[in-house]
Amino acid sequence: MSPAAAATAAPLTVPAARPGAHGEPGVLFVLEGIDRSGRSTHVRRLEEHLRYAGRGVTRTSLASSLLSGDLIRDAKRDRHADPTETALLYAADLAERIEQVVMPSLRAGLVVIADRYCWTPMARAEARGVDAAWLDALFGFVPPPDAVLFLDVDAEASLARRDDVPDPYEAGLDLGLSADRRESYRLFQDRLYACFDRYAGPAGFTRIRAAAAVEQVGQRVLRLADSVLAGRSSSPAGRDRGSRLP
Amino acid sequence: MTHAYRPRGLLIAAEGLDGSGKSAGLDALGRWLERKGRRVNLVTWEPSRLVARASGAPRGRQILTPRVAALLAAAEVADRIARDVRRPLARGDVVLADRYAWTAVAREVARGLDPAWAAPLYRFTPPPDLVIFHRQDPAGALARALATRPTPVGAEAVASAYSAFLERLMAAYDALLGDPSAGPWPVRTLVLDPRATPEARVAAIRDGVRPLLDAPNGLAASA
Repeated sequence: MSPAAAATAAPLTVPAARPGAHGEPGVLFVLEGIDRSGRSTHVRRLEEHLRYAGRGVTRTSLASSLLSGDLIRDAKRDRHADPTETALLYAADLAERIEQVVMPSLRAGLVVIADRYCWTPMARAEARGVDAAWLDALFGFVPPPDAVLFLDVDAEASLARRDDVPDPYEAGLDLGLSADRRESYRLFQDRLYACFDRYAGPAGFTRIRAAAAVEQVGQRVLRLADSVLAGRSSSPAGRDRGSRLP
Repeated sequence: MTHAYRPRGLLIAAEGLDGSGKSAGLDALGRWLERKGRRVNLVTWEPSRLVARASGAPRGRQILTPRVAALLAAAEVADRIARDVRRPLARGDVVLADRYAWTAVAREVARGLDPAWAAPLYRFTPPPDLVIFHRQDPAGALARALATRPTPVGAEAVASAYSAFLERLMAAYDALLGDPSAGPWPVRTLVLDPRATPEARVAAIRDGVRPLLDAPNGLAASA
């Protein structure tokens, strides 16, 4: 039985919530998952849903920082880039966005949706042989999200969702796993999936089996987000701060 | 296949404040090792170009924080280490590092980052076979810094801010010296007394390095 199948047996619940563990009145949602897990689609839908519900929303995504974004894009094009260096650049990118975007928004009581957080860079580095314990310590500075929605799609399903030739970076071509780009993609995404699967427990991911129809997955994402928000608004921290924007 | 004598790569780092005699000590050590037939590479710790570029731009100045600066600097170090340290060590060369990871960690801690995060950050650097720590009191380092890098304006203000920084730097080095597990990796250390004569220092460094040269794994098989 695949881990994905095992996860669906359990009801969708938020792991023993650490409400506002980041200490701010806002709410931080993270979406993680391998390529073609539907992340971008569900990030967009979640944002729309929250805005219709009258929430102020801030979105942030990988490599969008001013100081590190271009450096990361250069490293991704370079087949000989040192994976340790790339991991450090991703950490610099995330640190800047946490300081400039995430924390100020959480302080203002907004909902922050992060399209990937520390786990994608960690998985990409680990898939290239970087030490997992070091990566864990490196990203130890990140504020804990209120929920991590893990769109659980494995490498086979991810590959089945595309009929094109994946780009060299998505295929992990630098690892030399296979000369065939689609096969290399499957093997590389499988490594990433194995990392996510391992992070899921300790990091408190909420698994959303995302092989189902987009509508169904979308409903689960929204329901889950709503339950987290409901939990937070009744929490003492939420009441005392009283600074949530309409 | 033959077994040719190929020495094991050796990494020796000199750490300490400005004007503590690090460069002179490494110079003498390098010449001594070359006379013993070793190939010696000297690497110096460069200030981060990425951080300089960020702090040079108006927008970058606004958003640069100690953590982002530390990570950008570390990324640059990772790139340089691969080229300037790992490669020569793999060839069996000696690498002498004029400042190394301890300096990086101590500076980040002096700038306010948590040592429990800043020290493991540099665990990606190859651990030195020996860290030569040059003790120096912060007042001496300050005098040296002001003499070699005169500041055009507000020399006194600069001096007082810099001396506070040096005190924090020294405290961070002391924490690394006091508890080997507090650093990026456990490491053998040699601490040099600031009052020792230059000749005594050279002799102490040689005594510290000699046993490393005779280490049992000095022989490596080569095809």
